[in-house]
Amino acid sequence: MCAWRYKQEWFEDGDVTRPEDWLDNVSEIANELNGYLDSDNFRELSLGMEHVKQKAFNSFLTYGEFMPWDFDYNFPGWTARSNSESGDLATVKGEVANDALYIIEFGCRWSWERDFSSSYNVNNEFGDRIHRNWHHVHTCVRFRLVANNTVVAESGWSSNTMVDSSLHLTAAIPLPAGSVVVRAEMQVAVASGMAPFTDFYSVGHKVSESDQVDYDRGLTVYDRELIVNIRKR
Amino acid sequence: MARVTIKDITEGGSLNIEDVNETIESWNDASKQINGDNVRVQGLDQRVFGPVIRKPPTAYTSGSGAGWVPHSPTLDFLPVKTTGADAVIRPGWLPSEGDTLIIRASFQFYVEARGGRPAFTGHSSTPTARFRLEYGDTQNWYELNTTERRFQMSKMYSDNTKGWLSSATFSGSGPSHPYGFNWDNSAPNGASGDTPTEQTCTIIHLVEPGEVGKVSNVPRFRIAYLTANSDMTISGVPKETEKVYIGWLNFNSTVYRR
Repeated sequence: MCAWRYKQEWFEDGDVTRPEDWLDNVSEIANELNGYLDSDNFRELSLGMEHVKQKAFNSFLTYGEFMPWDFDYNFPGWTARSNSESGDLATVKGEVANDALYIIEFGCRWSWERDFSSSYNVNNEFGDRIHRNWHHVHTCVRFRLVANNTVVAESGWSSNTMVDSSLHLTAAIPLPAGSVVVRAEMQVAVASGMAPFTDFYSVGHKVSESDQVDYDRGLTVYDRELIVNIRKR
Repeated sequence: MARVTIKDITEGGSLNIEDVNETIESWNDASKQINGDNVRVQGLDQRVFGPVIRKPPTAYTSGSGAGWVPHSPTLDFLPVKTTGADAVIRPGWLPSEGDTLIIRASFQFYVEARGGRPAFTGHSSTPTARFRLEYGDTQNWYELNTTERRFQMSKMYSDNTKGWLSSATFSGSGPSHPYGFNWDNSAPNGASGDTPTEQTCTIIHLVEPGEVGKVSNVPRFRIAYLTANSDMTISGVPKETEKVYIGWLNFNSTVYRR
């Protein structure tokens, strides 16, 4: 026992030993064992994983859903909700007893609406909108991860020039003990093809009054998986 | 908590043998029952613990040495190959011990195809490339839910005449738009069109023990792909020219033990 390093009395040959002195030394060991053992009492790598309680170092909050999630495309800002759906895009919640490093990963795929029809759409098969002045407008989507109201990762815009596309986001952030909410959010906007990926408008925006096209576009997200690894120590 | 009780022995008193034996028994009992309560709060550090993460199996990788590996059109999901071998891993995963398994796949790909806008070019629909993770044994393979990833350009941007604004399909002059899943060395209007556009696909999945129940042993995992016209044909114009080229692949796993 490491407590022998701190024994209270030292005995030598020829000493007459008082029992209290002997007990002082023994108690030093017993007190350590009775709740004060530490790393000095164990050999290096001597504790195997079988000695450790499950989820002592890593625990996980997960959300996975393969069913389609229809985005309400009339909402212009960042959102985790859709009026068309009762549940969030992907959200996990938990109560965590210790501060920890949160390693967050989110993946999904999405499909833009294909059967859109409009008198201002030259050909429905395009899966795109054409402004009446014959320049393109792309509808775009981007995603981000939010942990306890802090944005920890954000994707770039992906336009509907890809009618099917996919995404993976990852992030890490230390958080204190207590309630934790991690969610994925998304935003849909339209961009002018004349200045691609520079000028973005809210959904429903009209480039000019003569433009009778609103830029609403349907979007459905599939195969959403949010994994939060809570790395405790 | 295992607790040691020491009988009090005082100077001048008689040494009772029961007191000595009870103290020894207390040590013996306690030494067999030490648990977390015997350790002071935050008293242990990483030095005393074995590995928290199990050693992963060899990751399947391909890179500049292997280059792009062509995968033929298919309407059914087939295994992604590296250089000849299927990309399959078998993690040392023991869910009965509380292990948590995460599978990670990341790679680049592009589709060699001529898409087209049916109304104008008579071509078939644009190509689609789809990927997913599967588990199984050596005989049968099953989809892992939430892992499918799909990629498909809109028809406008995969037209083999360089997009809808090409002068070939729109009255008046317009710029060529040779981008997207567009691959055509004989495009009109002087545009080369040889522009395979690499995409990146990443799939990460936390495997729940209950979702791999169709396999009795520790399962194997693989990446599967599907590529075809988006109307799920692989014939007609542009015939069997679609291929998905896959490279720079890394397929690995992590098993968190505690």
